[in-house]
Amino acid sequence: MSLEFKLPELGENIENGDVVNVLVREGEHISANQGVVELETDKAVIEVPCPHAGKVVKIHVGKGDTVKVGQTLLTIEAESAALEPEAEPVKQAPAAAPTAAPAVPAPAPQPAPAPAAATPPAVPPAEGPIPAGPAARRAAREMGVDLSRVAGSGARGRITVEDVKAAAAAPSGIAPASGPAAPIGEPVIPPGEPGNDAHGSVRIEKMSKIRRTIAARMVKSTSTIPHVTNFDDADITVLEQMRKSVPAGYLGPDIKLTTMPFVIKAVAAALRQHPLLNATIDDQNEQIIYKQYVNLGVAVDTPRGLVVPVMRAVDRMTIGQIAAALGALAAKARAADFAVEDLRGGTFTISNLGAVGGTYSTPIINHPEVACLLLGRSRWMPVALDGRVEPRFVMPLSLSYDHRIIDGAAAARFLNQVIDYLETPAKLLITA
Amino acid sequence: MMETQLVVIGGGPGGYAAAFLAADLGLQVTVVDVEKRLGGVCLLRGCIPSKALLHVAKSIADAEQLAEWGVAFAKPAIDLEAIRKRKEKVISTLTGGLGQLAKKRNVRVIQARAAFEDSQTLKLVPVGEKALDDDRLRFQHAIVATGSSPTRIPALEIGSARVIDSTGALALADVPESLLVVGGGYIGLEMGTVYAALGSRVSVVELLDGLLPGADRDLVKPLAKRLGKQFASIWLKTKVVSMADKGDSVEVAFEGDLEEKVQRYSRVLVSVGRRPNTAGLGLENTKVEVDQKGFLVVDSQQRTADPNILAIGDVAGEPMLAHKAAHEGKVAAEVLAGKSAEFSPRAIPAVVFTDPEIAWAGLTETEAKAQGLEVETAVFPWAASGRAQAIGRTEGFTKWLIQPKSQRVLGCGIVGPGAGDLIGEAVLAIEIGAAVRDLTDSIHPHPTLSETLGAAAEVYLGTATDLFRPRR
Repeated sequence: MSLEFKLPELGENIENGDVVNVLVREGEHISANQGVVELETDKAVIEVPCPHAGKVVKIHVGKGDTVKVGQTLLTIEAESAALEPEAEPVKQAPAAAPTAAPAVPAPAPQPAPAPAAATPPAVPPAEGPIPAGPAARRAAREMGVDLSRVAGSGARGRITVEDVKAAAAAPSGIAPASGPAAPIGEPVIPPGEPGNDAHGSVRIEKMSKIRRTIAARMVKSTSTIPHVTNFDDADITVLEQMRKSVPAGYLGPDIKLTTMPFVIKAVAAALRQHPLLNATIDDQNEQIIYKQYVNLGVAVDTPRGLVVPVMRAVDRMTIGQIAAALGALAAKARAADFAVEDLRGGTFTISNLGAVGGTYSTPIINHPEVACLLLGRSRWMPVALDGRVEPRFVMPLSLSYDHRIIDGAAAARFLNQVIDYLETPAKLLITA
Repeated sequence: MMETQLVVIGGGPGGYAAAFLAADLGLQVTVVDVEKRLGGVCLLRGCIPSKALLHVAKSIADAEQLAEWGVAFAKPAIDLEAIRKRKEKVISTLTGGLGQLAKKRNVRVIQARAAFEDSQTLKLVPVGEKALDDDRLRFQHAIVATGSSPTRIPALEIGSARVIDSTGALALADVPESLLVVGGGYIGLEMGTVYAALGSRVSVVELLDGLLPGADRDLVKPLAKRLGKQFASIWLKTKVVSMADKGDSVEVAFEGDLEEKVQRYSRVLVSVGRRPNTAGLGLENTKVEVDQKGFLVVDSQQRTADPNILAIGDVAGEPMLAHKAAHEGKVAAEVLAGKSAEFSPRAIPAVVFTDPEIAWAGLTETEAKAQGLEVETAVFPWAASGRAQAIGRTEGFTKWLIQPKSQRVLGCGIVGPGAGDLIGEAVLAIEIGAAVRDLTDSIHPHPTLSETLGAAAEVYLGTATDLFRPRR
């Protein structure tokens, strides 16, 4: 039977995506869960699988189109595994069998029907009906969730309304595109179009979805949050020695121990003691929501732009674990191999510009977080200590914070705490 | 010209459910019904009065049965006028209540016959003496909930007062000495039960080879057996060829396997089905499509081909049941209020209110066979139920239809007193995709008939406490 495959829910707040690639052709036979289009959303390129097997009758979208959630992508002649009965014009239920009139000449006494047999809407799939009651089915319908792909948390696999909500928030089953089509380094965005303006020749390039999203978020953050940035330095001479004293490969064959894991640990520990910087403002209800968990977003520069994957419950990880996670995270981000879910749930963001250069800056806070920390490039500089000038290895720090709830003093105290951990790493070892 | 945001044509169980929910959701609603009172056929001439009379019938039968318990009643003195009044009291209480609810919700109720002039206008024709404020009603949306009427067989329309339909039967003009029920469906059997209890000699004639076509045969057996004792005759595969009013009785000519091909009855009840009420609605002035059986064609959101018009209940298709109408009505109201709603139940229960009652929901064995589906059944006979024994009614049983791979329940059938109340649990179980274990592990109270639902599930596992039926 003919089916329309519509773009399923991709996640909270994501309403559309741009078609990067159509992966199938009209007339092609596809199998269940085969990827049919590649879509670029706010932050990731994802492959959208079609749950039905069958022949692609019509493709309704093309490369470059912006498609909305719920919009038809394909019409497919499905090889229906779910034995749906021959549908009447519109009603799904087959007509009640009893009213089948036997062949008698008119005027024929009609057979007396019993209350027509309870007509099941569709024959349950071969593996049994999906264990979702009317409430969960309704929620699924409203949120555009495909119940057959939801794992039920209830007894015997029962799918609850909460399960449906969770599935709607995560892009269930939609796998991120495995690696970029081109090797890293080549532009993934198509080259711009040449043109002219009043003063000379120009090159015009359509903003990619990610770029548009970053731009919008920057505007939102700067127009909502009164930003103030505190600058300070951390003397990481001792920390650097400590870091270098760890033999290469100690954490594992491919895990490098940079300064970042230490900074992340210090920040996580400090946030636990300064919860105001690990919060969010709920304007509507005029309340401050203190997050009881510490999820750090780590800004990664990728060919597509700035991406901030989130490391969860960082306060409970050891420095070694953080180092390993960081490595994996950065690799995934650069390969554009992460899910939208990986970008969610952060409480604080750290940007490390050290590899690139520079000292201090005024980073823009990742709304709805209330603070973020930028690390500049650590450098040897002369520092006055006990009346003598000594070369010390110093990391410049820039802490931007939301002045609606965080005052200068609170921000300074937090930063002092972070610096304290970095300057006396023994404290990090003992307390964190 | 009067205006309304939503007009509901028909104030029966579907219509008023839709109207009330629409009003609750903020729409401005008008209900148009030909009757002076709300409630439709269900309340005024169907479900409710028949259940009131069946309550009387069952009580009489129960009193008789008490003799085996050592309590003997004399034959009851039956005051028909009192029965009619008491039945009418039930109806007026409920319809009065509906009127109150409509007022509280600011739903305007107009008594009139309605027909579409176009997709935004209804022509109203007054019924009875009360004049109308206006004979036109402009609407943004309409829900057609005009219900159904008893099917008429021209050959049997002999213009005799002795030949009645279900409405006439419920009016209870008298207790006929003999009553022929044409049609072995639920309406005929329920009415036959009432009249037999009141003292008529009841005979049933059915064209097909079984009573209650549509119900699984095993569920009908215990009822057929009991009716066989209570009714004078039950003829299957038999046809009524003609009837004639002979003054003091109706002469009926049969075609079938019975000895006396011509017999006389004091009254004949013709209950051979119901037809949707679509004629005279002016639907041809709209984009609404009607199928060959006379039903309005709707989608799962109750929408017709006309974007302004929805349809629900008996007029929108089978099964023609009040609860199906009510749920469709609510879906329609939510759809118009912009909510995501659709009518896609996994089970619509059906109940036959005879004694014993028969009830089923979800997939039936008959359907499973017809569709070639792999299902297993598990039956718990009420003879093994403590409660059934305690009330002296052990002829019933409870059965589940189970999907073997997943062990989830697909259907349920129950026969026995109270089956109609017991089926509710089964509907919920089927809707949530319950597995057999969900039923066995849910504690049913003892001693009740609801236990039989858990027990039948246990039978599937081969471990029913009260029945030794190990799984092969």
